[in-house]
Amino acid sequence: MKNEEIATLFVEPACEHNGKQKTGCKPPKPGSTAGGCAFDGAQITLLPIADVAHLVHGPIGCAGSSWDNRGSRSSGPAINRLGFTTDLSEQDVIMGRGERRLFHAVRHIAERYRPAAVFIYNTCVPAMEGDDIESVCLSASAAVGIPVIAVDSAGFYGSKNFGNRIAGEIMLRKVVGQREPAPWPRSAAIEESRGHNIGLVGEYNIAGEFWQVLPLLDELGLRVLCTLSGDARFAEIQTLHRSQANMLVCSRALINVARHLQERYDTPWFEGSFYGVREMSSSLRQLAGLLNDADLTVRTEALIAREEADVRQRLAPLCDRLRGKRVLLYTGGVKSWSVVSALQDLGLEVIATGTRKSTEEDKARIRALMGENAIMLDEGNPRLLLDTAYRYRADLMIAGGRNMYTAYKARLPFLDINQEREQAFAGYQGMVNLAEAVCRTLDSPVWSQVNQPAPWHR
Amino acid sequence: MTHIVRSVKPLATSPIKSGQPLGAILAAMGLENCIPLVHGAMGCSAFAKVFFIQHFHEPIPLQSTAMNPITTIMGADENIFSALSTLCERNQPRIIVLLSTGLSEAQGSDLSRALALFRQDYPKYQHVGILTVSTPDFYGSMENGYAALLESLVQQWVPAEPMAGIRNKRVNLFLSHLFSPGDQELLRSYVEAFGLQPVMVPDLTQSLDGHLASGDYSSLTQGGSTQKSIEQLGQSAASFVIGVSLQRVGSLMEPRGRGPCIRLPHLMTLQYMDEFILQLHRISGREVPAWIERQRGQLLDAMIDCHGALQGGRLAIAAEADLLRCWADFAQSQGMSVNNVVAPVNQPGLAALPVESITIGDLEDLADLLAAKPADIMLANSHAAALSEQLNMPLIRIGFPIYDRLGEFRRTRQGYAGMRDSLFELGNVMEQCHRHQPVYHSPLKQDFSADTLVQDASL
Repeated sequence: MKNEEIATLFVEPACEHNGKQKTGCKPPKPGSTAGGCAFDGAQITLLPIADVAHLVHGPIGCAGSSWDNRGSRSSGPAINRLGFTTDLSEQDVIMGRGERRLFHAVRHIAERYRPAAVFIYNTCVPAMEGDDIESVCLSASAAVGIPVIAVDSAGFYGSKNFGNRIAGEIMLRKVVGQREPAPWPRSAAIEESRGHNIGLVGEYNIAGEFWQVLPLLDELGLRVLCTLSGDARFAEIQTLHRSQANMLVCSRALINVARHLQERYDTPWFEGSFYGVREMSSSLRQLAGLLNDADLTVRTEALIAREEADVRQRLAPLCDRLRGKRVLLYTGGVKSWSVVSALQDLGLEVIATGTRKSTEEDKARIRALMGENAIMLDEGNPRLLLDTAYRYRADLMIAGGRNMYTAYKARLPFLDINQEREQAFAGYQGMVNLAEAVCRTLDSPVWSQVNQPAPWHR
Repeated sequence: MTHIVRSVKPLATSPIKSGQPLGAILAAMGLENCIPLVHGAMGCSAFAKVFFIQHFHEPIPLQSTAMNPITTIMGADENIFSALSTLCERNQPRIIVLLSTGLSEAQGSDLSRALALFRQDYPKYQHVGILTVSTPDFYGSMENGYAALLESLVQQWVPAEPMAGIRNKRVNLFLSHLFSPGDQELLRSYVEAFGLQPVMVPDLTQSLDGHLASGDYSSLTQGGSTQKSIEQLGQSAASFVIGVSLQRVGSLMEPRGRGPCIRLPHLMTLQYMDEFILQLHRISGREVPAWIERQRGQLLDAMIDCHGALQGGRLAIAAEADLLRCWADFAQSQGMSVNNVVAPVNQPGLAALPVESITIGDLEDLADLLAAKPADIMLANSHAAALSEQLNMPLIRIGFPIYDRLGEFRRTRQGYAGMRDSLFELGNVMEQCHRHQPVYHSPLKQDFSADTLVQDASL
């Protein structure tokens, strides 16, 4: 990727951070980085596309330590769970054999696994060497008869967020708009005239949690043409341009996708979340609002009323146990406020929240939820997290998996809410799962035992 | 208070109970150069021999007095004399454990009288220690027989008044059947780490630890506590009595010993294990060694790492009372509940278990209990394998016999290290039966199967 292309991607009119400097989000700081590279970001954005073979072009370091470690689930094909890499050797690098190896890798994959498409992720070493991935894609695609798409995402281009954006951009440029949607199923409970097509950008179906939301959308006659990219198929992404409304799910990083779809296809969009009762209902309402359909609005309100009553009843006994428990939340971006609201719904007191990846708008929402004096952590180093937990007497830390052992080493109960988790927290049912998970860890008798010194030290 | 439910069935189906003689034989395996002699019919020893060979994968020294129809009616003391003299002559044991069975007890055989007569008539075998123990099959279960042997040991061999002098470095460990040879090895290393010398009764680490010795076959146990060390038990600095079933051993030992008697039900919770180490620290006057602190730290870390998987986990256990107590306490301390409990026989300690109810019964009863109230993991001996398969429920093998697993006979579950490893094992089993979000197939999902040929060639 050329420098000017990188610079162009940093321009994002829909983002509040789009200042004059064009540096996008905070650039990584040597010696003090947290989080992955552009390759990581591009890969996690697209890896959930289940019928695509994801081929990582580079030495083993890139794919070897990252394949198949995400909790995104598929209801059908699972080619994405296989780890493909050109595994470049020293000789390949010196002799410039990378391109040829890449071509044959695509051929091997296409013949043996028959994916709907092959995505090639370019990584640092071949990008630096100057491998011509695009032309390999052209010749390989001609040879194997399926789309072969380059995702030029070398790690040194930038941060993980930037990689998310590259991935979105590639989908827009090379995949979206290539196919018309399949006909509306005849057996559907809601016929085509009352139904709508929608798109969900940034929904990853972690631990299958989207399957707690999707039945409600089906009930309302909202056909999800495509999610980018949980449980998605290549052909579905190709039809995303036909959606009548898009929801950007908890992800600023893919804001470019939503904005481009609006500019090019006039598709309205909004940013929402499926975490928490309030947010879930609000997202359903906003979808109905964008689709501008009175009948849908009525049905949506009825569904919300039914689901909220049901979930309130199921949450009540759990909330009694959680009321007043103090939580330190550390998570990125939109989740910093959407999860705050979800936790407050449960009666938990959020003492501080992380805002490393949050925008000014996110922070305003945090202040609205937690009050003017809300404690916001711009940085997530373990020392700061623990000191904050001690100072404000947190009962529980909720953060991404990488912080789990920070909390555990401090003998502090912890709940993982990031990509690697195994529990489904989205939708109304997700709140019940979340409440149960928090109760489960807080109820564990191990905490009192591990917090006591050995009797010979007392 | 735990509710004890007694079975009203006229039979036992797939029993988890094994008889008292087996317990006495097991304990006898921890005595040096010993051979147990079962006073009963040939089968009484043959079945027991196979039982332990399959469990330990080791030869098991065991003989019987081979009672026949005539001696059964006319009196079998002659069989005892002849068996004892044959064993003494042929195998040169240091110790013979003479134990009764249902047959000999029902017949009215008096082992101690028979032994006294044998001593009179065969003075040349005076150097062989012979211990008698009453273990009829029709009372109690394996656990009672095991405890009975230890009680006999103390009663018959430890002087009623403590001998002069105290051995400051020596510590007695009376260990329940719940300690595997691996557990015992670990306990030995804990005690030795404080500069103390453990006398384990019984000591299975020398006989049934599964080692290939320099010699070949031996008709006697290859190691264990010696009669001499047992006679000196009263001089030790302290006695640990570990296992609820050994209560009476403790009360017999107390007046005979100079040191205090410390009773613990097991070493499978942080609390009891800390208590054990604290006592060793006090007795020895030494600091707790760094490696033990480190192992404790590993356990704490494992408790945290596993709590997510284990919290709320439901166990079903069918085992002897000491094992029930140990696993119920362990489960409770790790956030698991014990949903279904089956014990082979009622024991005094059962009522104190932290569970709602205990059924005295068998694997059929366990199946019924599970049908009424499900659980996640089953804990029982190898006989439960079929039930576990049928219910598609993972089985953790505990107790006796375990005949379908290699190495299980020496698995360490007690102590900091044993708890740590058991946590990981249970955690993995729970993770495997973790129910994932069920797959949902949307009726509106786009179906492109009709137009697979429409692909944009320009891509």
